[in-house]
Amino acid sequence: MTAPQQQASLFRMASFRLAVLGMLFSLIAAVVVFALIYEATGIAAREELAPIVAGDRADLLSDTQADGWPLAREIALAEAIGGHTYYELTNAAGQKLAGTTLAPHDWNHWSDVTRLEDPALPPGVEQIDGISVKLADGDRLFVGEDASVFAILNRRIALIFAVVFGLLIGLGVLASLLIAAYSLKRVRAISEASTDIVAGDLSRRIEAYGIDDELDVLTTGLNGMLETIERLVKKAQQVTSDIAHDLRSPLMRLRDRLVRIERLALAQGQAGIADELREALRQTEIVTSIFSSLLRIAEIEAGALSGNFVPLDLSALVCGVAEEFLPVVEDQGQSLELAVADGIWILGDVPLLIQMLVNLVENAIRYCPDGAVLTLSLTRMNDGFAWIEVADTGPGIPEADRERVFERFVRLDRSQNTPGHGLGLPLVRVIAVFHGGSVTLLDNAPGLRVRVKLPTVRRNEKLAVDSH
Amino acid sequence: MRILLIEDDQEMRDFVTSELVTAGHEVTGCADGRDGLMLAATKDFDLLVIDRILPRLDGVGVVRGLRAMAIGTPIILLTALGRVDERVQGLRAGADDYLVKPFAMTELVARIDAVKRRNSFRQDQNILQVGDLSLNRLTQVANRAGHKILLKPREFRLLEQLMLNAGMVLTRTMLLESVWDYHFDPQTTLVESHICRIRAKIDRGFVCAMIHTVRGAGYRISVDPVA
Repeated sequence: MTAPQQQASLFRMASFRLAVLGMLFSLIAAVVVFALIYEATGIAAREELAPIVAGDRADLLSDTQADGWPLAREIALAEAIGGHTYYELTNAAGQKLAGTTLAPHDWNHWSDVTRLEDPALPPGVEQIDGISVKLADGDRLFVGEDASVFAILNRRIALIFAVVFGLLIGLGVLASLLIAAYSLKRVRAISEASTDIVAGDLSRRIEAYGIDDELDVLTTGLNGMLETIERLVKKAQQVTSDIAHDLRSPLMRLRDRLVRIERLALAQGQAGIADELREALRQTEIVTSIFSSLLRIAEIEAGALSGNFVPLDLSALVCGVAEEFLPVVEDQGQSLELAVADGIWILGDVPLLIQMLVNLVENAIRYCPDGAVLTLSLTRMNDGFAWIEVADTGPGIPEADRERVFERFVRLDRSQNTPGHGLGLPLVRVIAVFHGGSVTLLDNAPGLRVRVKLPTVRRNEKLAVDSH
Repeated sequence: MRILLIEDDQEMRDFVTSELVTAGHEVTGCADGRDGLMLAATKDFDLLVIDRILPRLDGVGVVRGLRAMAIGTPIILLTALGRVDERVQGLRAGADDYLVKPFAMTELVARIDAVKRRNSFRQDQNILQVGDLSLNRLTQVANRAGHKILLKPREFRLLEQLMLNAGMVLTRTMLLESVWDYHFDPQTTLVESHICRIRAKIDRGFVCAMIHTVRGAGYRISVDPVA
């Protein structure tokens, strides 16, 4: 038995997560490509402008020599003529001597001053690229060219990248949400079908979309498996029904005959024979009882019982059974102590669980002497299981026999004086296993401690099942 | 009571017929489902006893057919199948009771009486009265000859069942099914211990006991010790 599926969320879907991861990768790739292009335009600008800058500087310096004017004057003249070349002359201390005032920049390195860094750039100029050199007198001369074309180019490239990748990512998110919603819908359908099947509806199938995608392949596979399970369970039900019918009917006829002979014997005054026949009748009842228990075990093992699993309050169920047996325990001169935790819910079949609890309690009552103390407890463990424990202070079971008693017809009391037919514990085990649990026998020192572990449901799962 | 018995096993049919005749009923036998359905639909019976597996139309089919025709005659299904879900299926189809083979004739006779009573006796009275014993079904308090008797929930349910069927025998199995909803045979004295508790409450201190043990059959509540 599987626990009900947790409610899946759209954003937790694997397909959505994968799509988001993919988009993240393409975003990184876009940033890298843009950085490379930016770098390339920078290199192109430098290759384009460096010779011009060098020429302008050489012209300026040769002009000062030829004219005999101070450099500052030549710079003022050059800038007054206009053009795309900008100059800045500073002394060694960094004080400005002539030219355009620019934001600080590297010395001896090709550098660009953008409007972003220096809002005081001349109007219409977005970027100036150039280089500073140290002159013979210690002053520093920066010569730069208007590189606005490159700046605008970069800006346009950035815009195109933003638009294209923004669109791509937006569409990607939308597409992955749609894919996730589709997967979620189909996964939910599978999950709901499995809940129905666990609850006993074996004829339930999962709807295929007929589009041959991976979920259709999975659906077809699951439906094939369900088909087989349903067929096997039906067969098991048929077999157990046949066995039941083929054995119960002759038992009934045997019983009728014995009753008739008993009456005849009484009518003919043969009381001794009548007594014998009554004993024979009692034996047929024992046969019937053993047969019913065996059949029940076989039905549960074969999964032939269409398990009617419902969310149920195990705490209430355990308390209820304990209360029923209190008078029996008292009549036996024993006592029963209860330690039942509240509000433990499991998914289970009520009649089967009651039979299991009754078997556990009755075993303790029957194998313990007067004065024995029985303890029935229900505890919630941290691993999602609940422990039902029935402990007694009776004779216990030797460790070597603790596994053997789960086999059918194994009774440790060889004299066979105690009533019962050795099918109590095997039945407890198949019912526990049927519910996804297990049974173990432990030493209660003195006495026996039977521990049944059953998987619990969390409250939200319970509600999910309820609303379903 | 006029009873129609639909059972294909002739030996079984003969035996049940003779037993029910002995118990004072008038029995019509029938061996197959379709004929049985026709008989039950056209003639007047007080009760139908129908086997689960029949030729031509199975027992559940007969029950469904009759209920679909709005024929409300009480029905007891007999079956050699014992699965819990089959029992539920039979009751859901409209049967009043369900008895698994092999059973003792006393069991069938007791169930016939109980089903008959359930269908003729008003089951919704708030106060049940047997002799000087009364039971208030709303407060779940009993009263015998002016003495108030407090009952535990299970004791109330047990006494209620006995009093609803006052004067009639309820078998151990019937009590297990109706009071505890247990469809298996407990290996301890569960019923006996609870009966004992009720006896201590309602019979102790009174000259005549009201709860009687019917040997080999079950329990009965009545003023009169003999049935």
